[in-house]
Amino acid sequence: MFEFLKKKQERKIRDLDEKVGKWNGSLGHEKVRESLDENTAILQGLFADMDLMRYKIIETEGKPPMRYLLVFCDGVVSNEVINSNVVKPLMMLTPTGKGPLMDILLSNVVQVGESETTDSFQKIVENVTYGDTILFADGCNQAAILNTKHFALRAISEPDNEKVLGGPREGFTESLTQNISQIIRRLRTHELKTKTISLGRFTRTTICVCYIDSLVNKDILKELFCRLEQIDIDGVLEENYIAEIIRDHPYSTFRTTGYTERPDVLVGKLLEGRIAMIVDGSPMVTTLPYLFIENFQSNEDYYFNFYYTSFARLLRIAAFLMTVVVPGLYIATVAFHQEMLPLQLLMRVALERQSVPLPAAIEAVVMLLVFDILRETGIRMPSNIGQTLSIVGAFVIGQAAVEASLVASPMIIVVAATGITGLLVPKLNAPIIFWRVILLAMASAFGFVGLTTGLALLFIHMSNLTSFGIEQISLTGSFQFQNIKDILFRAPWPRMIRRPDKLSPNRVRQPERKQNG
Amino acid sequence: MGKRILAGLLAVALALTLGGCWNYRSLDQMNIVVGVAVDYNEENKLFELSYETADLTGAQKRASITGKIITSQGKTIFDAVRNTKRKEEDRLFFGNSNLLVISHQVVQKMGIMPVIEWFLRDGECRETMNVAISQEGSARALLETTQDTSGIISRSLYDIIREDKDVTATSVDVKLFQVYGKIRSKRNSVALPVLHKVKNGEKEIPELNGTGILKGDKLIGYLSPEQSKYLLFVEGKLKSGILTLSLSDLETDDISLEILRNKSKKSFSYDEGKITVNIKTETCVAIGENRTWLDMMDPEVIQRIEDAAREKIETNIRELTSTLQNEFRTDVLGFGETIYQRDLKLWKQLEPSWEEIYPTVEVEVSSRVRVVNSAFIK
Repeated sequence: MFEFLKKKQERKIRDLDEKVGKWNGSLGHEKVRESLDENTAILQGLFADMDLMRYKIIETEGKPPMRYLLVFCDGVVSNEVINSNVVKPLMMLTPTGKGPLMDILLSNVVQVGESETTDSFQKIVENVTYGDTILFADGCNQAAILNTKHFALRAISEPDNEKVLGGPREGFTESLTQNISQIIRRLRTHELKTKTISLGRFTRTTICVCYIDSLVNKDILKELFCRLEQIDIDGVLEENYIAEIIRDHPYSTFRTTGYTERPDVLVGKLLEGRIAMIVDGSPMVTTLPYLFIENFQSNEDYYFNFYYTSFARLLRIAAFLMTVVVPGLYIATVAFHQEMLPLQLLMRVALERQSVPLPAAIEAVVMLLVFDILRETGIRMPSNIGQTLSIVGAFVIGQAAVEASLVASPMIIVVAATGITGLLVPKLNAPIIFWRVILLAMASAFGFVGLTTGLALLFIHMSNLTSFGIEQISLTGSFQFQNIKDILFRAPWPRMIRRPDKLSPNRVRQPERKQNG
Repeated sequence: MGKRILAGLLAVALALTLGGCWNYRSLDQMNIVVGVAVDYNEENKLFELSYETADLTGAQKRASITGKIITSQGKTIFDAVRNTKRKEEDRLFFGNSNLLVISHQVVQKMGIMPVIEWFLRDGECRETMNVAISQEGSARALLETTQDTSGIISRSLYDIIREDKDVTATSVDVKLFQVYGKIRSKRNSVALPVLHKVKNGEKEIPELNGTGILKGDKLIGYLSPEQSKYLLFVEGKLKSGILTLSLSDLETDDISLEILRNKSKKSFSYDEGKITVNIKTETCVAIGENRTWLDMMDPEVIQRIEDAAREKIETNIRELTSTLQNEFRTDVLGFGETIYQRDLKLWKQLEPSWEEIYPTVEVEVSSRVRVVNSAFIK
């Protein structure tokens, strides 16, 4: 009956396939020709209207006379390298020796450290736009890719959104090689593996997967590559493009892959058996698998005294619960279960609410919205008008609204507490905003019954989350010290004997030690 | 296992908050009732209820909140409560009321049950409200007095009654559900705190004045604050308080003992139709004040004090039990309960004629007093 529908769908898919083939495959079969002029024509055809592409023909009068073509893209190459290490030798020296011409050129003439030969135009296009210089020689059906990359990069600096009091201040930058250099420097072992894969039909972004060979869970690694290979997207500009695709629960508000901008954090994660995924062009590095507790962990936890950092971690967990629950709790108490409040408090709140025209629930929604607007404005606005925001935010909305009795002052306190605690766990900002509103809505409709139901839903959802097959919140493990040593508190280093459960097949971090002296 | 424990804890945590009804009630549309006074109007045969509510209308934000009294009448308590809506914009909210004062006329004539029934049955009221009896002409009069410390008199009275056993120990602290439970069981009787007004300078302020004794659900007499203290002694509810003694020939008592701890135990023996109840009390005291020139470091003096205190406690308890047994004939101390708990068969035998047996119960009192501290003078 629905045969025609099916056919229509099939036709759609076929059309799409053809289109994709056009985008992806047009260069796939093009090979480098023997004739230099033909190659030049092809390239000029590919890069028609691309005025930054430079073609340099070199002719020498040796025996035999040679013709070379150098192709590079202005702006991403180092002119100095091209001039002195490529152009000059090609002009001065004559290739002699046996074997394919291109190999002789690379080994005897051109003075570039990183080079390779290819015959695929696909590869040539990818590399020439990334700062490499392509060398063609007349009569040779191979081309050489010479590394002459040079572009302006941001210097290494401390990341703004992962501030610490103490510890290393380096952060990742937009350059993949620079990022890997920061990791290698910290992990001087042959066990560090860096596998690269290119993604994005147009961007051809290099993705580098790093791990420590003997610590990584091979199943997770295999699964990661399996998921990466299935990706077909036009471009990858940031790690989140990929992270959202490869997550176990792409539609959950909770993230099931982590990110960091700090090499020290990343190496810490690698040492726990995790896998890192560096995307060229993004200072954010994805880490996986990602446990829920990592939202609350900070690298400082491991650098400072464990009493202090354990307290700080408890604070972060409490802040998450508070920022999600407090608005709903306030509404449920004030609008449904007034008997929950002690008399004095109830009278004070009632007094404040006497002259407020809006119902508490609407008041809460409006005030939370105002807070989020202020927060978002703080991020987006030009920094030189920052004072305006603080005056408008603190004075107009805070004080004036209360004095005009448009908003009850307990509500301001609730919004402030909610907002401030929300900022304490930046990695959970999406679930916080989402679940806060859900709980608030349920509490406004059903009081504590609604709030409790909402919380139950939240907990059920959270306990269902997995990251590459690993439960984000593990409730099944036995309560051994080594399993909980890094959850609610951070155990002292002498007691950090094992790696987190399930992440790594090799769990021993340090041998069980005898008590010191 | 860990999962089960967690699931269990979670279930309990959820259950805690699931109770209660959930109608949206706006805070600015309710009259928060702090205390209730119940009178009976003899002229039109209606209950007259006075509610002290938190007055939020004219209050300055920084000043303390004062009370406002609303009165309504009705054929029953519930009727009276609902009738309030005829003159008040906002409904009464009983969720946080702490005090129920009932006038002594009502408790004497009609009994307490018709009054407390609604407070127990209604969803909003708390079973932990404190119940007190007013000795004034009307219970409302107590709420109309003013205290300087707090703007709301019911709240002050609630604190006075609740904290009494920890400081002065001259009256009882009884919650609504306890009143109901004791009246329903025949093995017990209820004693309730009593309030009256006294002059304090220019103003009249309420004062706690011992206990009222109920037989069934009707008031039949009062115990003075001093007598009430020994009631607390026997019940073991005494937490502190002052015990005064006279050891020298001064006109008034000259030694004050501060009670630190008190334990009491009731037991009974049944022998050929004769019931004997043993009351044992054990009290730790500290010497708080000494107007005699006796040397408190001397063990013999301490011994004398202990003996005198023991003597006083025993005598007063005996007097108390005889008053209760012979004058009031009501089992406030719960002798019946003691028998019921220790020997159910015997109690079933005695129950039908407990009214007659109770006055004949022999009471033996033995007390121990230990002086554990004698503060020194700096």
